[in-house]
Amino acid sequence: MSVAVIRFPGSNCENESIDALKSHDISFDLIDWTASTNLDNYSGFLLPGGFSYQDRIRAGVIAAKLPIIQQLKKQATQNKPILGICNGAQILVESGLLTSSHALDQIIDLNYVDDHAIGFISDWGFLTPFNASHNVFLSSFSDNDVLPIQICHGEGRFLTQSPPISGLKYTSIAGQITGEFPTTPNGSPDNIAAISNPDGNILAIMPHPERSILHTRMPYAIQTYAQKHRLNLINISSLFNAFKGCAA
Amino acid sequence: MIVLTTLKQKDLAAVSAQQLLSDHNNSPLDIQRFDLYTLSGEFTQHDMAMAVRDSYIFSNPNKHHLILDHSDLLHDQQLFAHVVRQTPLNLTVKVDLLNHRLGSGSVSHVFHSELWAFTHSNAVELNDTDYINTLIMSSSDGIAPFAHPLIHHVTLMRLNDLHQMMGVFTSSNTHDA
Repeated sequence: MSVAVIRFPGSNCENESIDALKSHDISFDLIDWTASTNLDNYSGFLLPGGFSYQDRIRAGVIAAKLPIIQQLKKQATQNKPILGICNGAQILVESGLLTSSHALDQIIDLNYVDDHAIGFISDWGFLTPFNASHNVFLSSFSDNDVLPIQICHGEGRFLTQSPPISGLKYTSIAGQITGEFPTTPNGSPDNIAAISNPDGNILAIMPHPERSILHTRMPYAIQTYAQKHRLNLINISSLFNAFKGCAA
Repeated sequence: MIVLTTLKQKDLAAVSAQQLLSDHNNSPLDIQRFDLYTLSGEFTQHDMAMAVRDSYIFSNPNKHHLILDHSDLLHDQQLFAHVVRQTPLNLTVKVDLLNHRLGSGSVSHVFHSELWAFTHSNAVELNDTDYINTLIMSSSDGIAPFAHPLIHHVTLMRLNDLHQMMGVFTSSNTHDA
């Protein structure tokens, strides 16, 4: 059994996502949104980043209405791990998969800071887990760990009717959740960067863990600052361990 | 003041929406998408219309139709769904551009919303609430994509209602919020 990486028209991060799985010796199949493959054949799912359907109407909404997502909902009830990265997260949220009742009481909205629509952001930032043990993708981390990560989105602001039970928040390199720009780069209320579903098998994360697992990709300034101030930055690579059980 | 723009070529968001709804019992024959901007402040309609027409702040004449008044693109065969944010976001960049253009600080707000125009081949036997719930407002098991229940409010309108909202028939010289 392996992980299905589901590609939509406009997805563009599937190769990096596959590289991240390969780096953990995780078996995978790249399948298209039109695939007639039985999803029962897979033990985990990854929805990569990109711009599915050009973000028409709202990012992720067109893909969320497709038959393959309806099939994915059935797989979710079997407690299989499902990871949505950036546009993949938007698709999961628009489908209602992150809520127990599948009600649409969450959305990932456009970046808006201090009454300004700030547009697309592309930078490195830092995340910290909350209630990490609740979600299968976060269980290898501890609450208050600081995880460097690449951020790249124009619509990344999580709006939720009720607080998520588990997930990741934006923090500073020193582990302080300030709630201010640029520590929280997109105006996300409560500094939310990723949310878990109530059952803990699904994670919708807006920043890009698949782009952040190689130490050499981290800006030199971050590396030297952390070294100088003896900060213990944790590699987010362990997030993909949730798929370990899917190895061939 | 209301400013409407729409693409001169077919809007691909409308194309995707039509494909999504193609199997629905009340699938529309045609869908058009308009960007609707609501401008607020103390200015004359004449001055603002000139500023809007003479600039690229809302439209590029090579790409967009700009609608400030009557238009053949709006007709009484259409049913309009106005999708508005529950908490409007002020487009401060456009406010600044307009005020620079007018040489004043008279524009206070520019809010964006979407106007979807549906043309049906036959009369749709749905009341407004059911029309919105089945064809407009997104839900986890529904096919409609246009609005999200957490952030959007939807109003259905006919052409007369739209013209009234646009103030097409008014003759007042000032427009307030």
